[in-house]
Amino acid sequence: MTEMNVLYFEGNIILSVLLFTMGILGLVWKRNAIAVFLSVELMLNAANLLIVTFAYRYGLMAGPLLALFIMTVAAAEAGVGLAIFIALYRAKRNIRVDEADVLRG
Amino acid sequence: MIELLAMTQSFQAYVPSLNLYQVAPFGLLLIGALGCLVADAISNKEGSRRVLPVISFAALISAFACFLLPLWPHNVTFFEGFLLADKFGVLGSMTIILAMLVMVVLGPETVRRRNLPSGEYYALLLFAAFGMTMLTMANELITAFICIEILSLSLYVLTGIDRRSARSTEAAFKYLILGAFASAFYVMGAGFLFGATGTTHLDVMTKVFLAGSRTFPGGVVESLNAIYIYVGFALIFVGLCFKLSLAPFHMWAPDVYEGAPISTSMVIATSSKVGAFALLYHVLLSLGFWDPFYESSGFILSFVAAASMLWGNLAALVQNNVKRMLAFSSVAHGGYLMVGFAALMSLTNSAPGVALEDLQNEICDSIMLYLFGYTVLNVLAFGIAHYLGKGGEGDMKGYRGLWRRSPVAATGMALAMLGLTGIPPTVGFIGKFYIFRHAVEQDLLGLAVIGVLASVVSAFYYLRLILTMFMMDEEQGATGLATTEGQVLPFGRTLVLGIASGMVFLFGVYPMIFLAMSRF
Amino acid sequence: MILYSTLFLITVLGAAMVLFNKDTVKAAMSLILVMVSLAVNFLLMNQEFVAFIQIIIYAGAIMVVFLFVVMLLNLREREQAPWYLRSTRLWGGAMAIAFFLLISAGAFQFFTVSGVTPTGTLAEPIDIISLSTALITKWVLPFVLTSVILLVAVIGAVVMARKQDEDGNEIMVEAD
Repeated sequence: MTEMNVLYFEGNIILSVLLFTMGILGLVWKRNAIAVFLSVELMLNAANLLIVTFAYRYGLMAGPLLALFIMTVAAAEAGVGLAIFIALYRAKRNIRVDEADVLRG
Repeated sequence: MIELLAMTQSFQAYVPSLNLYQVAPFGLLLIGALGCLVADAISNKEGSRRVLPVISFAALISAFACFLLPLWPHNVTFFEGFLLADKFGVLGSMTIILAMLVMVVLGPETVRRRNLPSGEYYALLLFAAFGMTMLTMANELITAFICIEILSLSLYVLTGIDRRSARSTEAAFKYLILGAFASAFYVMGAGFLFGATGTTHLDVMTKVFLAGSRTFPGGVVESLNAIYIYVGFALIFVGLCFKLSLAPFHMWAPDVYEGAPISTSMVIATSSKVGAFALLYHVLLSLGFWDPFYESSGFILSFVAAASMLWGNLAALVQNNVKRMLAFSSVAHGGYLMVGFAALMSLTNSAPGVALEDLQNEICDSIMLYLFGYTVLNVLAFGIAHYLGKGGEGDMKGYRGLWRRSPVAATGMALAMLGLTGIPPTVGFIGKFYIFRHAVEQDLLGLAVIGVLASVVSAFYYLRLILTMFMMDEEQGATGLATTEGQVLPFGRTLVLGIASGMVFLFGVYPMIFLAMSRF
Repeated sequence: MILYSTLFLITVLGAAMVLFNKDTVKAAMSLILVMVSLAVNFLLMNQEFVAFIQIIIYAGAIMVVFLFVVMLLNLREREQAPWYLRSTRLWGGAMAIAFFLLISAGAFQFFTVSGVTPTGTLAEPIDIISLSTALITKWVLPFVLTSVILLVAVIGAVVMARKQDEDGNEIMVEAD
């Protein structure tokens, strides 16, 4: 049983970093704004996994609590983010990140 | 059932240990925000526009007063170790509140000009102030994260609150995407530090770093995993550099400053940076106790400092839009501040007889003084740009011949530009002087030279604006200046900007006054 | 071992599908797959509280709001893809079966894996009672801060997304 626990621990670290980098790639590469925001959620999920894995490994109670806080903040951010998307869509009838060019980048 | 009883009893024994005095300012800001919402709900549009600035002003002034009272425990954590009251926290919070006060004074004009919803505007302003002040005192990484998000969400909405302007909405969108990206980096970094040290509280982390190893229940001692600490710090640093708009992560700043209403740009430039710098300071101080980190961090801080100074100043040279120029100038000023942080993490030389902690305190004082001066100067610059209305926000052509139209505004703007360049006897000069002196003392000569050269380059674009105001002729049909209609105090704006101008000289000649306030 | 590797693969494949999908709705559904597999991951690590809130908050609330917005604004992009990527029934069925297998395997493992962490002893007991006590005693400040941030989010969302007429007044009831 101890080998499986260790496997979970190290495997999850690798999984978390993998998901995080995939989130970064998604954010840089995708042009659709909703897909960009999905990548940000993926990154936050990866961070959550990392924290819970460490909490499991070292038996820390802070882990689940931190995960709860991060999830709540992610929810709040998603709410405001989607509201801004809606406002932008109504203003421009379109939500492509590379076409947001009223302000030159 | 028995567990429920035990829980209630433990909670009742717990309540007296919460330090209610020290959380008073934050509570006042929250009450102010909620009061704004309630007042907006029960009054009509005109009534809200009159009452809400008063409520916000009262909340901010009372919070400021709380910070002046000698109730703050010196360098001690309170509220179960989640908040830390130190010099950076108290002085930083006062600086933040000063900038937010100016935003409230500029508020009625902004609301009238752009037809904004009053209640939400002032409420979000106070929520942002709450997040920023609590961030300067945060001792725990995830509490700091929640505070960063509170202030960021308020600022995203304050950027995009002008629904009629597509430019503002787009600026809010850009700010949101890059801000969320930065937050994700930060949380990942916090996770790695949590894994490396077993805690997210910075004071407990300091103890772990001092010991150099972790002790588990059962007596097992494990050495610290260096990779996690380096990766964790790198991710946190990237996240914070985004928030501070330091090169090479400053891409969002020019567009966001240009699209946002001027008072929001002012707050993004000044207060949000103070909060993030406070967090960076606390994290660096804690990590600095781990020797391998201390030896290698100076380089990355110097690199970011040099990049920001060079990129910010060079890019500002070619800007024609005032707000974009101020955005790049704030990137450059972030770079000057980072020189101070680089000096903090490279402490090798001290005069004989001076302990290392005193040197650390001195550098912290210099950083605080620079931040305060930078806030005052930016408030002055943005405030006068706001006063000029449409003409002040856009191209520099709107500033032509300002000397003839309103000599007072021109003088104030000239003062701000001179201060930002760093010309004595303004507070900009004395701030830069102290920071560069510390850099030279700690053998960061290259950085100091780059800093001085960058300041010289910055003189070009700051003085160019002064020349535009004083020398050139007015454009045909120059737009008029803002009115004083709807102001809470009849001369509120002039008074505030006058006080700011006075501060520029006062603290430039007598910086000791500001530093003396830091001895609690 | 087999269960864990399968879980790992499903998570990575789901994340890859989030990246490579042209259709926003499919990308969101793939992200839900990733979140559910992460929840199973948490179950395998004996963190049942986190697993539940992951499903309730993330997969159940946040992603639903995403899908609402995508549907509301009709943001689907239609691009022609080869038949094996296009056939919704095939992929929908496969995803449903994957969900079912994941959740049942995770639940089964959860009831059989012992509660011993690799260090041998638990520093603090991680059960729901001690978590909730901690939440209102030691961790009360972040807890209260989350309530503030949710209020800010609600205000911000309403301000940004509500319909306004020319004067900036809220349109509460649309005229017929």
